[in-house]
Parts: sequence; C-alpha cells; structure tokens
Amino acid sequence: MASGVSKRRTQKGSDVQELNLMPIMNLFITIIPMLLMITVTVHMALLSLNLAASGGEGAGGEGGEASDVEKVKEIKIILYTDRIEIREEGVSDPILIPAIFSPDGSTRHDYLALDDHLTEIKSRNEDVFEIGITPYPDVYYGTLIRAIDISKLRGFPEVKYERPRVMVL
Amino acid sequence: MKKISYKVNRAASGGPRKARGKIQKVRSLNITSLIDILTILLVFLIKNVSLDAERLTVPDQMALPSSIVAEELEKSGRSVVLKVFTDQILLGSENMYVGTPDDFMTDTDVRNQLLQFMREQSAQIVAQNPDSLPLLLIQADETIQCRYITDIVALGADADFANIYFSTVRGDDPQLLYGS
Repeated sequence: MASGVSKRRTQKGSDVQELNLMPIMNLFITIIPMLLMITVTVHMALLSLNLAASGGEGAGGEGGEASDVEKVKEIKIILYTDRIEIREEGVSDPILIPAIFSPDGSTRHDYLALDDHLTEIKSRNEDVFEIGITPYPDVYYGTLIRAIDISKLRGFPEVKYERPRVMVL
Repeated sequence: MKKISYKVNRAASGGPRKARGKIQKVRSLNITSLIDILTILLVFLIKNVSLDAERLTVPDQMALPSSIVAEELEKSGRSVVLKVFTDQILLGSENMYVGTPDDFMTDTDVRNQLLQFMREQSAQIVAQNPDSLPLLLIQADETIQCRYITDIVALGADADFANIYFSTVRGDDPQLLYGS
C-alpha cells in the first residue's frame, strides 16, 4: 500500500515538472521585439502657444473685452536672424542682444543673455505671466523654440505667438 | 557466438536505459530563469510603452529642437499631428502628403486643401465628442524657417483648433541647451 501511494505522488510531481513552456516562450519571443520596436526611447515634450488676437494688437485676446480687463504690462521678444530684441511697455529703449559670431563664420543667438534679461524683467514684473514672441521669417524654428522655452522657464508661462508686421514700401 | 551473446547481454544490462536518460535530461532543460528574465523585461516594456507612440515619437529624418520645459496636452483634447520636414509636410496619423513647405507657401490649392482637411479633422473631433477639444500638434525640423511655422499656426487657428502645441525633445541641462 505504502509503495503505491508514493508512486502516485512521484507521478504527479513529474507532471508538474514537464509543463510545456514552449507556447509562453513563443509569445514572449513575439511580444518583446514588438515592444522594443515601438518603445519610445526619447522623452518628448510639448510647448503650448497662445494665439494673438486677429488684430495683432494688445494682450486682451478677446476683441472688445480688452478695455474691461485690467491692463497687463506688455512684454515682447522679437527674433531676428542677427539679434534678439526685448521690448517692455513703459521702457523707451528696447534691449538688444546681438548674435555671437564664431571664428568659423557662423552665428548663434545669445540665449544666456536672453535668459538673464528675462530673469531681470520678471523680478520687476512678478504679476506678468504673458509674453509675446514674434519671429521674423528667416529665423529658424529651433531659435523660436529656445526663446519660448526660456520664456516659460523664467516665469512667463503664457507665450503669445505673433506674426511680424512687415511694411511694404 | 561469444560475440553475439556479449552484445545481447550488454543491451539487457541497461544500454537503452542510459539513452532514455539522456533524452529526459535534454527535455527537462531548465528555462525557468530565462522565463523570469523575459517576464521582467516584458513588464518593464509594457510599463514604458506609450499608446501614443505613433504620435509622439521623433519622425525619421527630422531633428526636433530641444526644450527644458515640458507641458502636457489638454486632457479633454484630441490631437492632430502636422509634421513639417525640410522637404515635405505630412498630416495626421496616416501621414497624408500635403506638399513641400514651398508649395504650401506659394500654391493656394495646397494651402486650401490643407485648411479644408484640418477643418474636417477638428470638426470630426468635436462631432465624436462635443466635450473634447481639437488640438494641433506641430512637429517641425529645427532648421525650418519660421515663415512656414507662422503660416501653419495661422492656418491651425483658422481651422478651429483650440490649442496649438510645438513638439520638442526634452533636455535637462540649460547650459548645454543655451550655453554652447
């Protein structure tokens, strides 16, 4: 009797050991390469924009209601290919940040200076959260993104995208 | 005769049994540790995989600009992606070819087609769920000139997109991004 029971136990034990793992292996081998292919390896980020009112003037945004809303100080960054200009309402002279010329003949914008100036402007205008950015047509998109990024980083989360006013003579 | 009897005796004394034993050893190869690794890898990958992978991956042959600030899409919104390469503009998750950036600037047909398609997309989003907002997600190469971007943004506003976003690659170090 005793020997019979032990045989059955041994048989059960061997059944468990011989679990067929091939289907699950096949599943893994299919799923893992697929997941590796679609996995995002670069962290993406998004920058939101506010759109300027169709008139292109003022920070009100919603047409006639602008006069009822408390007037907020207007700050604008204008991007040129050879410089960045910061215009602050109530300050007569704009801040000019010339591009840096490299020995190899290329130019690049001075983002550190832009960062410093925006930090200083923000310290004087802590209640201002909106800034207008106007890129001129020849300016690269990379420059625009960096200007938006610095503005948001320095306490101007609402970036208003504005079209430059080009005068045809 | 001696030889034959010798062979028979050898077979009877457990020769085939040894062979069976070898087969059993091969069958019971221990793959548990391998399955453990694969399970961990699978869980890790499933955790990291983004359902929006198709939308929010860096398109091939496009150098997206970097930014430190990262904002999130409006939760109640549904986005339409517009990819602006140096030589072509693609719209939507189906990558519908619109034309070259220069075509977009000069050819009114291309511009009108794009506007019409964008309007259809935004109307479709609102029709499917009146509470959801149509969002435009612009992915553009960093060497694209702003003349194209400005017009695309204006077109997006005309096509009733509630919010417009620029897609970037997230960086961490301001010195690296702005200082060099």
